[in-house]
Amino acid sequence: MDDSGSISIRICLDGHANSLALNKDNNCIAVAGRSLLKVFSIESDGFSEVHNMRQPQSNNKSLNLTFSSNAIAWSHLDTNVLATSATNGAVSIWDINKFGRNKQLNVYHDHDRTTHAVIFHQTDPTLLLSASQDSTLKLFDLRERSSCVSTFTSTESVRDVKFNPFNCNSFASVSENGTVQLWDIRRSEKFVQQFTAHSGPIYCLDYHPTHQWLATGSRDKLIKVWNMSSVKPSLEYTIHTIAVVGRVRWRPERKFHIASCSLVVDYSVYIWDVRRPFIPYASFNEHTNVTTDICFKGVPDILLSTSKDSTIYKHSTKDAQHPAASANPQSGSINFRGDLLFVCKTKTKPTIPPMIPNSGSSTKLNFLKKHTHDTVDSAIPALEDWFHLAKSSLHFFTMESNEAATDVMKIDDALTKTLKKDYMAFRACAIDYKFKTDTQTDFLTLLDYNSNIARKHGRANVAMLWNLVKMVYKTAPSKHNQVNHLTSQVSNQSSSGLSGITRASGSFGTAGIGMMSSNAASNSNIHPDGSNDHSTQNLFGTSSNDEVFDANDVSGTITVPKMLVPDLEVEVFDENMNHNNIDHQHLRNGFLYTGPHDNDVIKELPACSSSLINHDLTHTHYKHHRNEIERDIETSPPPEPPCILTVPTNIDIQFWKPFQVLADCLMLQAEVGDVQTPTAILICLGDRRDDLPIDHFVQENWLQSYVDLLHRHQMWNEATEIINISWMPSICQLNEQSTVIQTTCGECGRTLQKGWFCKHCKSTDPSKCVVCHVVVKGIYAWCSGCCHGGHIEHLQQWFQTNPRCPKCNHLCEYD
Amino acid sequence: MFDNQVIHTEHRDVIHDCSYDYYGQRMATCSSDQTIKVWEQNEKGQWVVSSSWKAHSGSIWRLSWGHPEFGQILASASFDRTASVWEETVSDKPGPTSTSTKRWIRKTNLVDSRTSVTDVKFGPKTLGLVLATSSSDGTIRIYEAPDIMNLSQWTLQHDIPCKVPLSCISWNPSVFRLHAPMIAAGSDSTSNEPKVFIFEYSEYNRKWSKTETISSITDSVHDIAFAPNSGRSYHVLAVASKDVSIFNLKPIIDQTGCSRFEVVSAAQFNDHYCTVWRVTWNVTGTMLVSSGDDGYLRMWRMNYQKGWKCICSFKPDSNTQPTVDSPPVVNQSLSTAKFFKKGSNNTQIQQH
Repeated sequence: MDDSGSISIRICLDGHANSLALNKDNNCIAVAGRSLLKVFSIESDGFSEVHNMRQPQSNNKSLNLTFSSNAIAWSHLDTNVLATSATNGAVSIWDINKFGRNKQLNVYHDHDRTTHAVIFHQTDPTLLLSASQDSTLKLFDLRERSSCVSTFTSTESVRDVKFNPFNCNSFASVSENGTVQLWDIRRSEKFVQQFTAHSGPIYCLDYHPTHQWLATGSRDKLIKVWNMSSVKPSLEYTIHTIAVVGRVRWRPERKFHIASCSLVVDYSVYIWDVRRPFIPYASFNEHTNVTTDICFKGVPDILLSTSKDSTIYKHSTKDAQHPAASANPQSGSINFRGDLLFVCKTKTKPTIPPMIPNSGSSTKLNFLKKHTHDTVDSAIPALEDWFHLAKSSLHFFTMESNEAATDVMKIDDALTKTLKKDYMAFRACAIDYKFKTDTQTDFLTLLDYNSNIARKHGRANVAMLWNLVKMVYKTAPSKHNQVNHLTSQVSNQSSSGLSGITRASGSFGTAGIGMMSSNAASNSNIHPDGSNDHSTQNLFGTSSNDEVFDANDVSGTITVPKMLVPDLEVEVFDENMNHNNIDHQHLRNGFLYTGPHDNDVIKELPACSSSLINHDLTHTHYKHHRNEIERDIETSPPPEPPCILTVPTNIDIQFWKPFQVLADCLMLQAEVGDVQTPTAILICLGDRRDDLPIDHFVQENWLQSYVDLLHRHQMWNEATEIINISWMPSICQLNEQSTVIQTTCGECGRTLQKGWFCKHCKSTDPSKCVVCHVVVKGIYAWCSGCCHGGHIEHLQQWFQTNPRCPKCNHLCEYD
Repeated sequence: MFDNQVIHTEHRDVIHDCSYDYYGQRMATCSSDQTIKVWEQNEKGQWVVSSSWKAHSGSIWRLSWGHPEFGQILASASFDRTASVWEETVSDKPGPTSTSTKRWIRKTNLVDSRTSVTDVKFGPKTLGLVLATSSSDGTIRIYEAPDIMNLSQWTLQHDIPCKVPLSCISWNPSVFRLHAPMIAAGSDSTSNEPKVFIFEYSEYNRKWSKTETISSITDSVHDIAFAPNSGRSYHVLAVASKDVSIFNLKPIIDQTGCSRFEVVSAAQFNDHYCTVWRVTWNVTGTMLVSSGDDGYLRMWRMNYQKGWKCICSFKPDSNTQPTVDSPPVVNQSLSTAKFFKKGSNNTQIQQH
């Protein structure tokens, strides 16, 4: 016999078993059902049938109900004697050593109705107790073959009964009215004690083998553990299961563990730790129908079960599932402000894995089981030792300073500043951006204004993008303009444009655009003079600390959008660079400069420091020129106009496609999670946006996402402004959904069909102000109760002094 | 600097989920102790329970807030094999026992699953009132309330069999009308098979079908989350498995009209070096927070090069004392060595 039984064994039965019982040696299992009464021996690799007490029904059509067993019990002392109870109330005694029909020793027909349970006395082999639907318990003496020796009458159907292991004369019964009754076998007239345990029928009970605890399971889905040591039983633990409890069994050698199965719905067998009453410690999910009975095989790790799926299973706790182990112990949530909620299981687990799988022989295991159980457990804290220690702690991290804060998490200041800035700047920009030109602001001023807004709120790269838009549209009023013309225009603008651009520092916008403007400049043979570059440097020097983090962001690789020369990519690799070391010295034209610091050095490196700059050259024709440009960008600002900037005269002037660049910029901005900027720019562009090669669906998605984001920030006015201003029919419709306002005539109370003319009163009175009696033009405010209203200012004034409606005099108030 | 407020939840067992509502002003927690608590912040910034009720007869795994357009609604998924929809109602008369007049009423109990319901999520509001549940029997169920004013009536619209036990689902939260409804599901089975599946609803066929299987993830998946779309041309999906992974799903337009995605791994991190339980996004989808068995909370941020970097990691409970005494820690056996990050980092404490 192998107790380690790492596999579960399944055998088919003829019909299902309602009950199972183990013999005193725990090596045989008897199962009983409607048409079934068999004994199997339990072997390491399976069950083998030893006895079959039911002969095949040959001619008897009607089933003999005496054999339709509900419960089975095996004598604790005599390994040959079994007892079964039947649905017709009959209690049968069996001797499996006899042959044929002689196996059935005796049948008692004392009960009138179904017998639910039958048990043997632990110490007296002749005593047998049964519990029945007819609300009686009967004690049989096996030597007395005709009838029972005493009857215990309860008030309600008795569902289960168990002898008290600590008192051989005492037993407990549970009944359908939710009470537990304690009896003495010597006093049959009345119970010793009774208490109400559940709000529904109790179906099972079990005495704890070593403690004065009684467990009861009920239809109310609860398992309750009662402390019986005191005079009045007290509730010790309550386990919440998910279905009606059918059977409960204490786990041997584990003080707090109890196994249960349910009568309906749930097919699993659970082992609970009573100290953690909400989630099973282990579960066995093999059965495909309701489990009818469970029993531990004398040891804590082997559990036998029968089920309506006509199988017997031998479960090993090693194979059990642990629902709590796969349960999520942590969770988090971020809101739009960047506040973070975090829940985690408090650290109670030892940093030790659960028990190492047993690989030893069965003898070793038996040895462990018998002698060193305690030491094994203390050496390696097993799951069951800390399973019940489950608690979570909930943390709330906020960047706002908070009175309720209990401690402060030391996190990089730049980080929290950046996170906070994200939120603040989004809100501020959403409020401050202007979208419409009017008499004071023409289109370019509007762009300038928005650029300033973005800069004011610390979003230099966004400000940059606005400036780029401005630059493009200043020079290129329409798509059909000569691009040649445009480039020269840009050149002329370059010195002002450049300074505008480079005023912002840090992230992508600067990187790309700084590059581009330099390109434009060199392209048209106008070199930025030294002073200009110096001013750039100065501006970087004064840029705020806020930008450092953004700079960190860019520090990966920088790819410049396709511009002057197609396919030119400049990448700065600084994977090994320590971010903390970034200072303003490294920021040149928005690039993180990691290469040689001097012009002289770069001259010594004719390959243009190929380890730092990786360029993808497809046309060697441009190679020289590109190197020039790269040097221009990558080297430190020269004290005077450097000679290397002299551009060879044989360069083909490439057409710059400003709209494509602009579209790419907007797309990138959206891709990196800032939908506000591209949306705002598109709105400001008005009809000019059609120049940009941006798909209408993309535009719609931006608008929709931005509106959704504003809603999340509860910025209703801003969202409505966007919806109203939008050029997409599907977005404009958003304002026409969901809200219906019915207008009602204030005179007669009927709904106005159309306009303010009441058909019933034949007047336009509903449109008049109740205070001044003039037809309201503009905002009409009204009481939703009486429908009277008028000019909002008049009503405000009125309700400052009067608590009542001016028209119908009911008590009203103005919010 | 973060202000850390430790909230005493008085949940009697492990909390499995906490979630902000749509506006980030309320939060809800659910626990194995079968209760849900809804919290609000008072004027001092302290979180206080506004409602607490026993919601299920088993552990409650997940919560999901509905869009406020439909009212204050919550959905919960439980070990007791049901998912429930709750609505907060404000009664005019204060109750005799409680001063609070707000109560959460169970509007429906969805009992189709035969096993534990592992996750529940409300769909994006543009789809109306829809709910998806995943269960460990390997089925995704899509429910819909045809009348948004009647939360008691939910019909099971779709039943998507996946054959593997599911642990988590996520809707693509995009509100854009041209993005077909999309669900990602993750499995926590221990088999060596792909664990992440993408399903898409086809208006033409009126059914959900599996469009992608992310084959690179074969470890059990504990959480999955689509980032808010925020106008991107692709979708971003974070997966919590043995570690954190981020995938970009770029729609491919092919001739047959079938919807396909180009699944590109955008980032794969080994920083936790252990089971990651939860990934969650900020509202713009630019920052991801992950938490793992190492006890660390890590924040990931996308830079302007669309690259992902860990911007900070910290251990939330390093300053707070656990409420119960831990069993004594004894010498670690060598068999656990593989759970430890080899070499330098001694600050990570492994939990297996």
